[in-house]
Parts: sequence; C-alpha cells; structure tokens
Amino acid sequence: MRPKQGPPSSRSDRLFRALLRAFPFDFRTDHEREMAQTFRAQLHEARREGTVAAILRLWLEAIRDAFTTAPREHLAILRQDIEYALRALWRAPVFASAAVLTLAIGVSAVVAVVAIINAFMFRPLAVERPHELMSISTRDGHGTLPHGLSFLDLQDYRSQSAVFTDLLGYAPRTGALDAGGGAERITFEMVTDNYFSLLGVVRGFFPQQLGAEEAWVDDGGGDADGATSACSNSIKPLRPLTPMA
Amino acid sequence: MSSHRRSVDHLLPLTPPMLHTLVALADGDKHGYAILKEISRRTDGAVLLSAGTLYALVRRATADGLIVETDERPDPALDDERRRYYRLTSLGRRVAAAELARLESIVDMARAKKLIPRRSPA
Repeated sequence: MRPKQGPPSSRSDRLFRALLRAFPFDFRTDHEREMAQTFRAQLHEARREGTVAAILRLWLEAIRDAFTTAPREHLAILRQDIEYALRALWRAPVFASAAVLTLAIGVSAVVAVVAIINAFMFRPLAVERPHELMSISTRDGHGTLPHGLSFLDLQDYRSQSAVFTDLLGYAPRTGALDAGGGAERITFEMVTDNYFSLLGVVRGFFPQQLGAEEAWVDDGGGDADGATSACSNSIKPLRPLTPMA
Repeated sequence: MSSHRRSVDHLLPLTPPMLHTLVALADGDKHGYAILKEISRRTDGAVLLSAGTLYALVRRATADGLIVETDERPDPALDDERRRYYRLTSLGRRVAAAELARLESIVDMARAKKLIPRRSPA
C-alpha cells in the first residue's frame, strides 16, 4: 500500500514553512508536518469562506506566532536544558565541582590573556593623542635587540630633530620607600621634565629635580601625605609635594 | 496531601487556551486540526487558536503528562494516516476538572456578590 501523498508544495505552504523556521529545531522535528497540514486546512477553509479578512487573519497569526510563540519555545527548551543539566550536576557533586573548577580556571585564564592583549594591543594609552606617539630605540653593537637611548642622545635628538613635536624620556627603576611604616620596595620611573605636559596627563605624585630630570614616585596608591620618603638606588630622598590638580 | 493532589495543584491555574484544549479532548481522541475546530465551534469563533499556539500547548501538555499521543486510529475511512491523535490522560482530566472547579468557585462568589445574575432554575 502506498502512503497517502500530500498536495504539491504551494507558495503559501513554502511561506508557512519558512515562518516555522523561527521555532526551535526540536519543535519543528516533532510538529512541523502537522502544523503545515493544519495551516493548509485552515487556509483552505478561509478561502472557502471567500473573505480576504479570514485569510489575512490567518497569515497575521502565523507571523505573530513566529515572533511570540517561537521565542517562548526557545526559552522553554533552554530552561528545560538548564534544569536537566543542574539536576545531573546535583546528582554527581564531585564531577560538578571538578567541572566548575575547570571552567573557572579556564575562564580566568582566557580573561587574563584577553585583558593583557587588550591592554597592550588594542586599548589606546590613556594620554592625549595616543596615535601620534612614537617609540625611539637604539640598535647597535651592544646587543641584537633594540634598547633605549642614553640621556645625552635624547637631549641631542630633542634639541636637533625637527621631525617630532617633542621628545620625552623615561627609565624604570626599583628602590625602597619609607613612608613612615618601614621601607617598602617599589618600582618607579625617572622621567624627563616634559613627561606629563607632553602626554597631556595630570601629575599626581612627588616631583623632585634631579639635574635635568625630574622623578615621580608612586607608592602604590597609598596616602603618603606628610610622609618622609626615601629612595635607594642613588636617588636622593624625595620631598613629598601636594598633588597637582 | 497526596502526591496526586500536589501534582494537580502544581499545574494550576491553566491558561484559557490550555483549558479549552483539555476540554476539547474530554470526549475522545482528536488530532490537532480537530481540536482547533472543536474549540472554535464551542466558543462560536470567540477562541481561534493558531497552529503555532496549538502545537506549543500540545507540546507542553504532553510534557506535563496531561495528554498523550495515541496509536489507536479511528475508522480507516475517516482517518488520515499522516495525522497524530492526542488523548486526555487521567491526570489531564483531574487537572481540567480542578481548574473548572476553581473557576466555578469564582463565578459562585461573583453571583453571591450580585456581580452577575443568579442562574435561573432549569
């Protein structure tokens, strides 16, 4: 016996099936054929009535289903999946703990890597016109990798170069800072006097003249008002000043 | 309280389309289009369910155990073998009855407060 064949696929049938694609895959697998069949019967009846309003109402309801019922079904299936997953995890607490821990480590690692990549490669520096900044380094017989300039070279470039608006210099250092609670090892930078003005940022720490340079020391965000600061590494004791506004 | 009672209460209240669907199946197995027709006929066209709404209800009612798909087919002369038939389960019957009783108590309350007229004796 041959199974009954449905009517040949009409344009309205194809359009209705296209609307059904808004429904979740599982839902369509279970009900698509029946829904199309039901819609075909309803459409046939509406045409028999002969009113455009009945046909229009049917199509409007089909469209409304695609925008209201279909999302609700997606949510229902999602909720069902989440409940199932939670029940499964609750039944196997050791596995659940291992899974959560693994996920936490994995997510943390990814977040850290993305944050570093973002900070160094994508996010512009928090200065004025970061796109205009250039980094100058020296490549000579002292090593295969580019390295920094001497302070004298920097002074020469600064006074003789017409290519750049201005040049600034910086040199990272480590030292010890005693802000009253004992010496604390810190990292700081010696920078040239135009460092903050050229970058267009507000100076917030303790400047001290060191010949042609100035040094600013960050004690790690602490409040050092009135503290007697001292740095080793042949830098003279720093004189705390009121941060500039 | 029995577990049956708890499961019935857990499923209440029903939405009007769900209640109509369960009531439509109360007197026998039906396929989807027959359910739509029955609801439309019994409500004089006031409740017209779309195919999407109906099958979402069917899916939910099946998941909650209110209806089941049945393998029994009607008279082959009347049957379309592509259709799927649904049957009201005993739980579905109890849930529908409980929902109707709930609605009836509200109607009785409204009558007592003269919000709607008392039913005239038959």
